Amino acid sequence: MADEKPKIPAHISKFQKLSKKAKQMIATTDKHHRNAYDAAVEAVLMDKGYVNEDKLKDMKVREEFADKMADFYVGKAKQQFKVGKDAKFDELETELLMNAYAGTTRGQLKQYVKKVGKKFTFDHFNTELRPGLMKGIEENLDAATVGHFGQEHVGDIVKYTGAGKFLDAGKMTVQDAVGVLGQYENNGTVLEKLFKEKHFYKKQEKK
Amino acid sequence: MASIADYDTANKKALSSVATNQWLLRQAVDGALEGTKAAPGDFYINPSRLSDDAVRATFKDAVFTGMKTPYNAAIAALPGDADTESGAFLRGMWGFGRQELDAYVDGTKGGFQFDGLFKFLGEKTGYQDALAARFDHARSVMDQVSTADVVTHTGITPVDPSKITLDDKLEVNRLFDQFGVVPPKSIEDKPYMN
Repeated sequence: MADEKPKIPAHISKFQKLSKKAKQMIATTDKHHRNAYDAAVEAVLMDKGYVNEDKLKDMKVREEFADKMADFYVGKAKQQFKVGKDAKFDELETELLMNAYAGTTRGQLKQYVKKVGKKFTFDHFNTELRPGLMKGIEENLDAATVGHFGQEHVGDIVKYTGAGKFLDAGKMTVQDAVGVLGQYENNGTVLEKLFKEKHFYKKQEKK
Repeated sequence: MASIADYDTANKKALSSVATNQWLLRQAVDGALEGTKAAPGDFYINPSRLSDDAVRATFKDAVFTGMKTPYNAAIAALPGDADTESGAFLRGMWGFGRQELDAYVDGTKGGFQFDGLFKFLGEKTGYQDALAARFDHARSVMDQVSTADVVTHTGITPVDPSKITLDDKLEVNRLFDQFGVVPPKSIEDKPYMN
């Protein structure tokens, strides 16, 4: 009879499930950032079928561009948070809703686009602004995927990842264990050499 | 003879062409990513589903269709067999073809990343060259602008204007547009300044 696969502890399978969902959420929000920019391009910068970034020289166009992006974000925020069609938000509530989804508000976006002006190209948006907007969202989701772990789960995590040979679970915090688990999930293994300087690394006896 | 204004117009058209091309490609890729949703009405895309051969095949087809659609009319007007000619035409417009696209998507499978694709296209295919080619006309316009006009326009004070090349003209004009003045340090070692 074949050996049965060891059962994954419930708190680890919960982490795996949440991580999978978080990855989808991050990929989707990332795409929506691009979509927001591109929707604004289509609405404001198109000139006979061509993108004319020169239009951003005009302060009014910058404001319009930011508004179109904000409209897109608010629409997606309502979809993600399953806001009913009848729900009414005032201006400030809409700002908070957008901030929760996109990591920025309409006001902040307007200020930014007005300041950057013609240089607010996709490359600029994608490399200068978007990473900052995503950072908070990624951190929040990362924290949410491991929020159910407690100190009592450290031993299980170390055992599950097979790192018990060189890591001392008794000396590890939950954060340490979560780091090990993240590495295991990403790489399929835990690289011993990355932990040699850690206080919870088991010193190997010289033969 | 052309003027600085002629060059500016040609350069703006080139910049616009590049921005449009990039916009179209983003639309093609993001449109195809919609197909990674587990169900059509889902809110979340799921690029890890690209590890599935069928999902990946649909995705590649969708990207390529998105690249081709804006040029369908031009392809139909080509002499010869449209299916045959379209490959060459699209490679010219994009700097890469279906082969390179497939190579990246099949290589990354469920680990597909939008930024990774653009990095790959920029480094491993002719994509950047195809974008750069859009400036060829502007470059030829600048070639017809007199050196004296460029010197007057940018305010540089060359020791020997006869040593100013086409690349020099393009460079000082770009610096002038960017900073409103040509920073002396940026050209002090140039042959025409010595």
